[in-house]
Amino acid sequence: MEINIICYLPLKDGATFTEETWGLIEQANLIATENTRKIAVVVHSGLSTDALKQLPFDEVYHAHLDIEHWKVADYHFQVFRRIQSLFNHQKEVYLFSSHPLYHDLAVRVSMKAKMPIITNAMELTIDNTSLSLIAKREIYNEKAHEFITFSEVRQQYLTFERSILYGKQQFGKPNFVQEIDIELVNSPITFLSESQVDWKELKITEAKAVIGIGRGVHGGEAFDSILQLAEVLNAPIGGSKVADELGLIPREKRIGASGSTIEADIYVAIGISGSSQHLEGIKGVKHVIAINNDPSAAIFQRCDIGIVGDYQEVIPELVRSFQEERQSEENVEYLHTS
Amino acid sequence: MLNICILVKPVIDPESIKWDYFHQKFSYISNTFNSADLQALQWACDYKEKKGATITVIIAADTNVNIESNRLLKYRLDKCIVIQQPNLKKWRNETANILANEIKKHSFDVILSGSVSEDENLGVTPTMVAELLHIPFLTHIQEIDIKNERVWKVKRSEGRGIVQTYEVQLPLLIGVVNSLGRKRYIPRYLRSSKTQGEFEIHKLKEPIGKSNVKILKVSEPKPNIRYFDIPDDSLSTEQRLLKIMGLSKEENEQSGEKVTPEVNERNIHFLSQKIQKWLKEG
Amino acid sequence: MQTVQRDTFWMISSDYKLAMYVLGAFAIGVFVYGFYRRFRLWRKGVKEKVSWNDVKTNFHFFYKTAIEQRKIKRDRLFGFMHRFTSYGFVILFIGTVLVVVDYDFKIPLLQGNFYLIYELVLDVFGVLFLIGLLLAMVVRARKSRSRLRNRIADQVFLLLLFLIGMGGYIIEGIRLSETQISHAVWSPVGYGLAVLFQGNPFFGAETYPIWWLGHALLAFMLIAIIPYTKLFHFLTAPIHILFQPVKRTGKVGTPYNLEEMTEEERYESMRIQGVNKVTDFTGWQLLSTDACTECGRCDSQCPAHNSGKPLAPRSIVMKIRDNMHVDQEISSFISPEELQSCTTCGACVEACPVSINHIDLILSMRRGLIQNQVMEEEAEKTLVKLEEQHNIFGKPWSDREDWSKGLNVPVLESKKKKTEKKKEGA
Repeated sequence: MEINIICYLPLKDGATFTEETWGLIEQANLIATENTRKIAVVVHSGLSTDALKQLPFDEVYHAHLDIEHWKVADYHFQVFRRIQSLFNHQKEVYLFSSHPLYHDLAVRVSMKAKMPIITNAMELTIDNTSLSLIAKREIYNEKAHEFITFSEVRQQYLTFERSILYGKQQFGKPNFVQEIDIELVNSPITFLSESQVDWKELKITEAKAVIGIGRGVHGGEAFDSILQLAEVLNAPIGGSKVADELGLIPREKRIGASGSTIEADIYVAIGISGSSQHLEGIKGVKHVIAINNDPSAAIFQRCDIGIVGDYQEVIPELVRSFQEERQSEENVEYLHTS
Repeated sequence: MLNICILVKPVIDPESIKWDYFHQKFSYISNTFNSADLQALQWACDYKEKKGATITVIIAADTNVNIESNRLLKYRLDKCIVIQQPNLKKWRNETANILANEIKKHSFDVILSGSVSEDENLGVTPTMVAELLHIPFLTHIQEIDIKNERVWKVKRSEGRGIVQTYEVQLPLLIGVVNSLGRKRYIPRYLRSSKTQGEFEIHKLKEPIGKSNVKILKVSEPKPNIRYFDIPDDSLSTEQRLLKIMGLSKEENEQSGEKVTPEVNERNIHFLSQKIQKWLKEG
Repeated sequence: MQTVQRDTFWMISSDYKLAMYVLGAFAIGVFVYGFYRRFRLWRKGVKEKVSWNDVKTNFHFFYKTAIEQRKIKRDRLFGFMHRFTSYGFVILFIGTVLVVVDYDFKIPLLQGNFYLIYELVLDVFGVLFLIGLLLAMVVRARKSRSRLRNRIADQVFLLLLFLIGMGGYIIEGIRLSETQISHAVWSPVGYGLAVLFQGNPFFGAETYPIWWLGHALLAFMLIAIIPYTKLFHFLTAPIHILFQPVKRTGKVGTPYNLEEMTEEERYESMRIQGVNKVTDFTGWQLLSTDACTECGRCDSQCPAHNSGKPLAPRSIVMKIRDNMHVDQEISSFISPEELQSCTTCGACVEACPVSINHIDLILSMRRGLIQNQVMEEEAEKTLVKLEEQHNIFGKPWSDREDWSKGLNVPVLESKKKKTEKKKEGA
């Protein structure tokens, strides 16, 4: 019997494919056999038809929502029900991402259809004998795993834990790409706005970019330039243990073995020597930039780019370079424009 | 006066539970309540202090589970209803039916609950309850602002410091996360026992039929294997090994000096371009 | 030979005599009223029984503190000052009582040799009294004790006492110079003054009534103002030291015993609830605040106060005393930061010369704070962690055996129970 795998593709801000999207597609591929038809449902707020025509699926159904509606799961639900009414399959497996928007949608749809749902799955395998899907899930704060399967065969809903969805972009040629139009019913939930928390309130464990200051900054005068850099990168300012003891940063902003471990993408270390305790706090950071007067500082072994020099010269230049960039380009949304 | 309902789930304490490898089962089991649910209850109590409300707590639990009623009665709730059903654990997603049936008997303005419980990590029950009652819902909320009696503003965090704001109309169900507020300590003998809330227990029979999801096995945490690129055939065996171990340098990354000893226009420009590229990445 | 006796009311006309009795009665009336006012406020506090056993234990303590004045002796100069002044005052007071007994109750005590000894003792102690007062006034004027509060009123009290003492000597001197009695040498100071005043019209028989009345007025003023000022410690300190329920330095206990109370009682118990309004204190605690002499020894020894924290034990006691008449919430005049800075070291209690137990007061108020959920964040976090995981670090309770892993520590486990580890109730 033909199994239909329907992927509800997760997008970023309704307009871009991300690693999550390709990850979901790869998960679908893992459980697909020759007898499976792969269907994609894309609800977006601004994708080109070309992009849709290159998705590696057999069928693609898509619908357009305004971005304010796209952010609310209620409208997704209305679109999805409409699309589901077009389906006439015997066996279906629906795959979603566990982002709250899609999770809420998935549960609601499974309730409406009175079909089972497994959420936050970490791994999906097919049982050899019964050919049913087994999902592995984490329970009790990752202290144990459970393996569960569906008792119902006709429709099965699955949400995948976001952290396991990653993959490379794939291309394909769908048999048909169909657009769905729908009259929306107003939902009592309205999306108001989305905003980036200011670097002053942002926690160092949540930020994308973090600036760290150390002993080298103490006594210096160009602290204003560091604040400007924080403004441009929207990066909260943390520091090493020495900086905490010298009173430059509060206790909770300490980075290192005795403080917090940050998970940022970018870390700018200013005047930090890079002792092993501090490096322990930044061990997960993707890109590290170090600025220090001392060329033998340990931080230079860890960093991706290092500058040996006085931060009081380097930082103002860097800030100026960013500001010129901001003036020349219009599309600088990744830079924090105030 | 707002009529608030809080759904609380009694869970086994995930902080202290351990998997006993020898006996292949859980050990160090102790009962507590889901902390996100208690956050919701705390928020409701704070609201009651300021503006007055009626708080009802509804718990659906297994008949064997011992509910620590004293801990709940410390909060300023008005009523606490415990519904017991045998073998509740076997019936995944049955709790939602039980809760919805109970809620239908009252008329609540808003229902608060934790979004995901710390034990089974499902996150399904609050949504199911809302769907059974035909009311809108929003989960993973970290901040609630009251605009006026019927219109509230709630905020959800998208990670990396991005916060989304929604406007919602009552009645609805809100699923909250732990960052809703700070955990408060409530002294035990705070209130005279005469002003404590009422406590009711209802007992149900087991449903007939079968659950639509089956648990096959519970095991110790198995490793989560993440597949990275398989190294290129063009590399030699040693290089491939180094690549898998993460020790080799990528060829296409800028080779040569990582450290620049002087500060000039070119280096600064290079640095700023690199940072912008990294900022765009995420 | 005619028996030597006290010539009370020498040269005093009956008008003046009447005036003295009237004013005296008035002053005593004001005094009693003042005492009654405070007494009523103390009674508003929670009742606390004092058993006779406690009072018996307190006798020894009373001797050490009130009579020997050991705690005041720690500050040597002040020790001299206060002993001179207090012994002098007590002796002079007893002297006046004996006069009343002798004259008004017509029991002829002050006669013969007894009278001569009486005069001598009174004179000597009177001098000590004056010396002590001078010491105190000089110390205050030179500000050599920073813990003291230097308000005008404080100096005025000392001055008042000094004037009364001087006045007494002056009128004795005038009397002795005018009457030229043979036993005048038994009052050495009076005799000395008499020699000085010889022939001086300003200190003569005509001006004598004025001096006498002046002395009487000042004395009555003193009596009248005692219950309204810190001078009240003359009375309240000895009462407090003698009768206070025994709570010595260093012992920080709870006023309740959870094990002896039923569940019902625990909810209603005021002692667990702590102090939220002034009348939640016990009557004895309120009395103790009235015993405060505002000397400031507690402030000078308090480590929190000396390191810049907002706590000042003296101000806590004084604020309670001053706000007793209005039954209001403690939080309106004492801030939570003050109470939370207390380290309960006990230095204030140890230093206090009238045995006020500041820690007792502060801890009762702290209990009130916690019952109202007013705590600093760190303390609250600890309490929450304690409630959830039964340890203050917040680590899982199942980890508490980790320290013994690999150390071969023998474990006692009952054979009947399986290794199902259960958490014990809180």
